[in-house]
Amino acid sequence: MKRLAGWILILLLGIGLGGGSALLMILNVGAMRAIRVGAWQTLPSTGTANADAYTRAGIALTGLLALGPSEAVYFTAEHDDDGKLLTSACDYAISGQDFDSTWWSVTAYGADRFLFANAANRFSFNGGSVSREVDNSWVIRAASTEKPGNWLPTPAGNGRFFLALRLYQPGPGITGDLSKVPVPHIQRETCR
Amino acid sequence: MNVPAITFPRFLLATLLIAVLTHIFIVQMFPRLIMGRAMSVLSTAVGPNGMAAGKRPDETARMIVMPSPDLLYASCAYDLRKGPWRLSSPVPDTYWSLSLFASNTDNFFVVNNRTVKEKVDVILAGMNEAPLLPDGAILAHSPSHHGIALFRFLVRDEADNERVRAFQLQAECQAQGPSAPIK
Repeated sequence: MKRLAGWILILLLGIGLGGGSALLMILNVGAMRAIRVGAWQTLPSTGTANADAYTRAGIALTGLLALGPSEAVYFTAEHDDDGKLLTSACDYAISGQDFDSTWWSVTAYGADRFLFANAANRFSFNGGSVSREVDNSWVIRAASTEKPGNWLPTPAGNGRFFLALRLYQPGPGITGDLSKVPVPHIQRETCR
Repeated sequence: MNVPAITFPRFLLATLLIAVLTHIFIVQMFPRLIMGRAMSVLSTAVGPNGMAAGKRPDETARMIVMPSPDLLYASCAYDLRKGPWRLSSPVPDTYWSLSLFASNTDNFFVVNNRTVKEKVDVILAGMNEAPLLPDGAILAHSPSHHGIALFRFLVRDEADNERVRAFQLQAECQAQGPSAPIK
């Protein structure tokens, strides 16, 4: 009886170790497989048959039904340009230019990877909705309180959030080398 | 019952073996489990055209992670075990695509507003099926019996929402009759 209990314990230990290590690797697939550009990262094999098992599992968890890179390229950012986590306790300036794609958008998501309620009922800016500077560049202000210009609300409180950059129908300037995509800068401004 | 004694080498070997098998099983099954759940939810949300076609995503959209608030989606879960499916939609003058996802999450097929004009008609069949194609229809073969078809319609701004929504609501996803196998 004592031996049987010992083998059951081994079984449970093995399942725990195997399951825990699998989930750990799935949750951190970005650290293993992503291409990093500035504050942003992208999984180059998203949606393709070339994706390995960890990438598939990671995408299923964080970006189910994502398109392959010939149709859309997705970048996400959880940090600013200085590597600090994005938080609603701070305001950010996200600045960039148009991309070599049919259209683009920058969207803010809560820590749970879903959209969140906000007073402006605004969740993103895209190439059609963003207000531009004289030189055609743009600056989006991500903040939990209203800002002039392109205000992208962040969640209420001091919680974490993250940003997604979508580039639909990307041209060769994007698909040619993902590590050289001119991604937007994310600069931390004031914090409370 | 003769249960073998637990020595240290046996403990180590058995634990490692079970851990490796569990690890592989979970990593392999994870995408299919998530897709299975999404297909199950979609199946309960379909409208008269066989598609789930909601309003533009906002904070209430909780079905699929990271929805784009700039898109109107129309989606359905397909099951090819009883024959092909037909997917059709008028194509708007804005970004639009129909993408097909296998049960392991692979995006194995895409058509968009660059490759088709005015209207798309796709017959989706299993790998060994040769269905009759209506005039102008595109044939797509799914690597799995089950999967998800997803239409994306770009809404450039709020003023354009109702116009694009009229296109979204015409998207259709319907099971067809059985087809002959490829000889």
